[in-house]
Amino acid sequence: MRLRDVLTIYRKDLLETLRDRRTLLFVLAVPALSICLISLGASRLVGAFVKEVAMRDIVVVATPETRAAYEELAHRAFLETKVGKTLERLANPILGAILPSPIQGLKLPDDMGAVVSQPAAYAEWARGLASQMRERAGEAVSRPSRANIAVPESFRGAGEDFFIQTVRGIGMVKWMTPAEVEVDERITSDSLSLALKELPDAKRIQSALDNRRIDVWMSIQMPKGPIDAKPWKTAQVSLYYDATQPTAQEAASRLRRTLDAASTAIVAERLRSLRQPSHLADPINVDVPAALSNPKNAMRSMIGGMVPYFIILFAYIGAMFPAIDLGAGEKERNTLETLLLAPVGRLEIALGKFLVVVTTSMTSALVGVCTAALMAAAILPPEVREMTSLKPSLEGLLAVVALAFPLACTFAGVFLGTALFARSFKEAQNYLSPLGVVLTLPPAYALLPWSELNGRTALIPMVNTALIARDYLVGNFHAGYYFMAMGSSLTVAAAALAFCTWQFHRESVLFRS
Amino acid sequence: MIEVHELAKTFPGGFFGRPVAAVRSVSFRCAPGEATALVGSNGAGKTTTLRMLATAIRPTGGDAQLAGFDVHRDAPEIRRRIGFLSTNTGLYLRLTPRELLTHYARLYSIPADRIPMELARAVELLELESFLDRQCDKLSTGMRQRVSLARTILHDPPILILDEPTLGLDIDANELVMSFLERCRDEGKTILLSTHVMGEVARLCRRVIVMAAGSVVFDGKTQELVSAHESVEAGVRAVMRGAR
Repeated sequence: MRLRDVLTIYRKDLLETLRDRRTLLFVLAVPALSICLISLGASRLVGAFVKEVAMRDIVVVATPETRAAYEELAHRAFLETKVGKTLERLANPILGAILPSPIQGLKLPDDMGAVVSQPAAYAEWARGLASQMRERAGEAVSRPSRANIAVPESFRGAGEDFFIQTVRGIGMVKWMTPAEVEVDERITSDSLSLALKELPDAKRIQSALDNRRIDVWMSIQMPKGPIDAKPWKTAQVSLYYDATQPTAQEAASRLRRTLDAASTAIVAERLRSLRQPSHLADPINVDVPAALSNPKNAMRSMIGGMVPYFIILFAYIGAMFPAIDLGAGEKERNTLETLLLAPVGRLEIALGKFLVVVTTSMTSALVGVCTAALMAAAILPPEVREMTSLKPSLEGLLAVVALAFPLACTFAGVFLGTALFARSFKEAQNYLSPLGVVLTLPPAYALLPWSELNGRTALIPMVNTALIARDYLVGNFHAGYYFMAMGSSLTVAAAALAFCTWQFHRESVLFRS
Repeated sequence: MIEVHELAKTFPGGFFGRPVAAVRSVSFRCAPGEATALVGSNGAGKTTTLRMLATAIRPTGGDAQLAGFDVHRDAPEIRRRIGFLSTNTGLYLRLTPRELLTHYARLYSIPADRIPMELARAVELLELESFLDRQCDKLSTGMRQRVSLARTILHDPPILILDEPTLGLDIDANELVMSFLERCRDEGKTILLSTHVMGEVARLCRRVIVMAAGSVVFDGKTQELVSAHESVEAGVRAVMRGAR
């Protein structure tokens, strides 16, 4: 093999490729633009999701008795929180005078005594507080910027805990009475949901559930007498909602969180009255190891699953058009025959073109990843950026280059060999475009929660690239698997190159008409 | 010198098709300093014959020698000694003629210090100076053909194989190409030319080979055809009629 000839062909083909606007568009502009659009779109989408689902007012149908019972239970839950306990102490005239400062990041009620003792006063105060918090969060999601996308200060620390545990369940509930629900007369007993058939109000509940503006039908039957004194009794709560609707699911889970917190509070009170230790009701304490619950790892795992997705996608796009142009394009423009008649070996010709496609493929993948890193630096706040570890570093860049190289070689070999078989640019596009759909599957595997890098997956091309990139970003680098994957990927890349070279030796391919 | 002996080419028919015998046992000779015309109707096997001689495709039978080298064994050596041009020879449209010619000069292993000299020679011969640095996609058909010819003779090959080199050219471009080929012939190069223009045959070629259905049906001097049938065209027509 004459390296000089390979370089001559590489230099000419690269020059020609760089002068092709279509190739430049797909190699440089498409990755950069699509990453920008995906980043901005995703941040808007997440914002919209938070606004529409997580922060949305939920509409609950309940009788006045049920509403009162729910507010009482929510109050019980509140009093068990850190904020509730602090307020109880502050409301005490003696303790309130001793305690030095209010809770950080939380506006205290004017009448702390009423909030601590009366569920209705607490509900009113919590509703106002939630409204304030929601406004600030709304600003954050409607104008995602480095400053705004960060979690509002008031959500942090004690405020955050309070918000999650209590206010979410009360402050943003819009109540409706059953009488306000318009009964749909078209509903017959046959069209009723199975779970509702036995209920006296079945038709009305079904009408409420069918109405997409209503989220949950709730009914609470409180026992007669105090719930945390003997004889022990149980409150019966029923939640009816359409489980196929994400908004209804979110609404039901909000109510459940409050009710669960109330249940925990009542159990604690019962144990106190029995002079039993609080852990009596907790025979098993599940401790989640810190490493697993670390939000950094969760975020990195998610980003780690997406990075190889982009690497593979852009390596594919970056390889496809130059490969078609240098294969089928040369045939179509009648320049291939002239080249084949030059005193240069077919291997040299194949290698020169192959290296050009590898270059464009790698460039495209790098442009995509670097744009993603720059976009992350531009729109993510420092604390989130720190969590995702998407900092452009030489080490990270080298890791991406090393992973993308065998992938780009594989694409280059397969695409160039296939494009050479085609009679025209269009025919080559028809062959290679469907591959794009197939190529989305291996990186998608890395996004699955149960996917793992092991001796078997390390040998599967592309899947191994995706898994290694993901694990690397999470901080788990397995040198053994890395070299296995590299070996496997390079073997496949060598096979792809052999296929490409073989095609360049086949008369029936080169002069196919 | 080109010596062809019972050269044949059969293309495989693919999954369902039958094999196609494009060239059947063709033999002829072309001497240095002589232009030979390969004529015949479309599908007669001319282009396939030229491609086999240029080592683009491998013969399935017979053999041929160009400048003393065998088409089966010495393809790289033959490629160094021939200049091949066809009417549909494409140019790299995103390169300029200067870039394209420099690229081919490197592929033909012309030493780097000699490339400007060889380039200047080809540019002068084919009058490329005025558009040497214009991108090829901006050139007219005639200009492109002149660039292709320059590429063909850049390495000063002793043999030229030309497949319809003047097709689609205007009068001026045609005259330039014909004059150029006459000059090459007079310099002692061996020229094998496929064409449908009998005027070119009469002007340039001392010998004519007529092909029909993959076989040679006439191989003789141009003058013989003219003497027997008054013109080359009439002679070729008569030969082809006879072959049917």
